[in-house]
Amino acid sequence: MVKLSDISFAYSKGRPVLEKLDLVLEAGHIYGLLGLNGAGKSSLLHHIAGLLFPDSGSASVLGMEPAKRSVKFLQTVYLLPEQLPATSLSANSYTGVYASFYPAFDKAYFTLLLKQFDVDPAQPLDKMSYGQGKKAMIAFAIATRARIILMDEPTNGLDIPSKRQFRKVIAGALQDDQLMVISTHQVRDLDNLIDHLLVLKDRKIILSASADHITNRLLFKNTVDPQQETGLLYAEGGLKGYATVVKNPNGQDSKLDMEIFFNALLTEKEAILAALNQNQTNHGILA
Amino acid sequence: MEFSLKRIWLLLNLQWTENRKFYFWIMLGLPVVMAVVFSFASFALPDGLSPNYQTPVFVGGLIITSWIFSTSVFSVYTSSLQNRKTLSIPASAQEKTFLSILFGVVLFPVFYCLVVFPTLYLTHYIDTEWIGNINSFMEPDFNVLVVLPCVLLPLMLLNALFTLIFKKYAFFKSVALTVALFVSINYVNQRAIDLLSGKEVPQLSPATAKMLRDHHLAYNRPGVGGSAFTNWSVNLQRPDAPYTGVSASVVAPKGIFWIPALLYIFCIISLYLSILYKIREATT
Repeated sequence: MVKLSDISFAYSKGRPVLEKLDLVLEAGHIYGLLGLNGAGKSSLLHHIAGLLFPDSGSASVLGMEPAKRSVKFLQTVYLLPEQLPATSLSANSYTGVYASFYPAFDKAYFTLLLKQFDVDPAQPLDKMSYGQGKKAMIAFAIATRARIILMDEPTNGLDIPSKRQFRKVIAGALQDDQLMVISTHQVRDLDNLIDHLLVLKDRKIILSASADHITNRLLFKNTVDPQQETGLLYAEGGLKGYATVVKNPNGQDSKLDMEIFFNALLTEKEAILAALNQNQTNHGILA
Repeated sequence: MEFSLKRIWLLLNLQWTENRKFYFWIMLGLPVVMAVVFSFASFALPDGLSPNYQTPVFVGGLIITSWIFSTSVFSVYTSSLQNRKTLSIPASAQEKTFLSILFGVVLFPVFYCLVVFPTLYLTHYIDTEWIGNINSFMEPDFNVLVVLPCVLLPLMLLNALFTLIFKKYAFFKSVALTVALFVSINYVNQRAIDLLSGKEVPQLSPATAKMLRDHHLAYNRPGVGGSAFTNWSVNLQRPDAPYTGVSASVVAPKGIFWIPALLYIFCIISLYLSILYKIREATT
């Protein structure tokens, strides 16, 4: 569905943001795009959305070139940016104006989502709190039924109940022919939501793996004494002991702790990638 | 080329709905401001609201307000948040360009005329009937009806292009660059005429030659001047008098008027395409 090959991009000379990046995304998945602040997550999403053009390399989205921004392409890809421009329109009026541009827009679903998010459809968006406005726009993004939905830090500004609601809505929203990419640096927000992880670091995708693959190869467990754990890859101390990531040769079940995994990958990259059998050639093996 | 009237209509609706508060204030504010400016002449100038005041204020107001309005329409492509939103709307660059030009360059000047002309009529009525000044009402002549729109169109397109190029202080930079361009073209044009024709009038018409003979006039060579926006003029001088003044102009034969017309059309198309490519190539 989305194929980026050998993409390099810099906002200014000598300061590359993406370098020889390869990425393949398939339909039917919710991808979590993780990375530190300034890692280039937004730039990557903007390349997929056709809002930035690569300095070199090629991009293809459903066979279309994003940089051309054809009408069909723009109807296919919806990017929900982190910061939303202020508008005095209510959610209802906003839909009245913008929904007609999206042939598959589902008005009834939009109304339902607003209700689930507890957003007043008649209130002007610029009079809403940041979080309420964000929820209204998340609802709009999902209701477009665009084949590719890109969300840049969608949980920023959401309170805890709203984050839970967001996960619930997203989990039920994806259709078989759609894909979603959710970029965040607040990795815990994506717990139980994403089924495929992308990690951007050093201007490249250093990991592309499904959640199942990760939990097949790695075991996430809490322990009092991490030194006693065989195959220990990473340990992080907390009030209730240590959260650890260990090798999982027997395929034991455990729940993927996104935050611990992300921290482990950043600090013990070589060992974690070796345990996942992923090389670092930036070709993102889809497991 | 992707161009759909339905999407143009949707973009028009979007532009109107998103900015209706701003437009509402313009609708309310423009006649009020112009009424104050026209009334100033009635009360403060000795001749009142004379035709010599009406036309320049009407034309100047049209150019200044159109300039500001088209800057605001095209500035959505310079603010990063608005730019991202506008570029992501499922419509082609061609449609977005067309709509922006339609709104900023065509519809606003039409709206200005529809609103300010009656305002001028009303203030003129007050000026003559209530205050007692004797002034005729501005009669839209060839210059206002034909020349003005023809000048306004490339000016506004130029402003649109400069607004897309300059991200910050677009309005001021655009004005400065346009003035600089105007002065430069004038200067280069004059130099080109001097260079190509020397200081001589290339060919005098029989009527001009007779007039010069009858009045013992000679055009003095250094006085030949020209610009893109005025007729090429010569300074005439009587050999026995110290007076020198611009008193005759040299005009091109009517048969070659297609050249400036063609250049004008070429200029408009070039500006349109430049704006289109700038929007097409815009990134966040």
